Amino acid sequence: MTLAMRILQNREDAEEALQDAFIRVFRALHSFEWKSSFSTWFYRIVYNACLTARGKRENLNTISLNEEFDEEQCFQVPSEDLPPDLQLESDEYTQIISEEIEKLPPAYGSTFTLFVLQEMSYEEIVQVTGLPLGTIKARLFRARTILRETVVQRIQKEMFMKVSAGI
Amino acid sequence: MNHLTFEVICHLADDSSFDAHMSEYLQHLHSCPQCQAEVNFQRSIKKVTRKVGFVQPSAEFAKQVLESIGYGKKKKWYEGLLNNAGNILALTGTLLLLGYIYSQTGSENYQSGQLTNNIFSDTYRIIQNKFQQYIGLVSINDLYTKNGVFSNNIPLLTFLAIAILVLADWIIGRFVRHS
Repeated sequence: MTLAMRILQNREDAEEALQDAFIRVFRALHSFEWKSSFSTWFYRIVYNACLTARGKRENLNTISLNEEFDEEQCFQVPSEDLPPDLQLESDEYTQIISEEIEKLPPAYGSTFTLFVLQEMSYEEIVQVTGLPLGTIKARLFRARTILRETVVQRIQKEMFMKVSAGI
Repeated sequence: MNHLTFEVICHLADDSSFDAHMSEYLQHLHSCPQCQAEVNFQRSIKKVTRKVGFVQPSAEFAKQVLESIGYGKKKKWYEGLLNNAGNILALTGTLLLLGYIYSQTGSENYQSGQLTNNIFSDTYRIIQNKFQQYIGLVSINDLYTKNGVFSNNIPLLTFLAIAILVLADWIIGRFVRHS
């Protein structure tokens, strides 16, 4: 459901796509060969069902299908904007991070979910999405870059508002 | 050494070693609070993502999925019959044939010595020799005598065979579904 939500960014569409995926799994269950992981196979069906559901609305794979890992993207961090004593795991920041993950573009959000939440390896994500390894790495990298930028901006904004309110 | 790249920071946050310079990166990490903060930031993002957990579907979702794959759907009385019509017809035919053979063992043919006392050889002989007669009996008109009474037990056996098979099919179907 999380993967479907990341791709479709809408609960109703996600449930519909997931339902479609369950039906596909049910019908194709007899053809599953236990040579590969069932979860990878299942997630591949869910992923494809979500892509189908997204359909003409937006083609997920065209976002960066041929995207390769670009060394120039490895910009230098850290910058000075990251407070060293930041307690990200507090309830306040948990909410911010959660919201920013939801805002990630589908291609990046889905890859990030598969890697971080489903704890899949790069190879498993390649099997699920059918995309090249370079694309997966690039998507994950960009997801993290975007998250870092947006989460830090939100935190700084919150801090500024708190300070302003205190004055 | 310059600060670590974002790629290296992500790998360190994932605890994955990806090139031969890992020891240098770790050495730098211990001596650089800013890079440490970046690695901790990425680790915290992962922790928080896992803490927030999975998005749960709505309460009706499971019910809708089960309905869509037909689980728990109550079948109409004739659907079961239609699904198993082939089996029922085949077994009915078999029982019908056996019933006919059984009825023939008390016939004039049997008493006149054309048949032996061995049921197996009689069965074989009846099948072999009286096939044409059996085909004739399938014709409804030949089932009746002049008084309108059934000349043999075929209609009754047919009805009983179908009833038994439908019942058996229903019982087995219920057992399979529950198991």
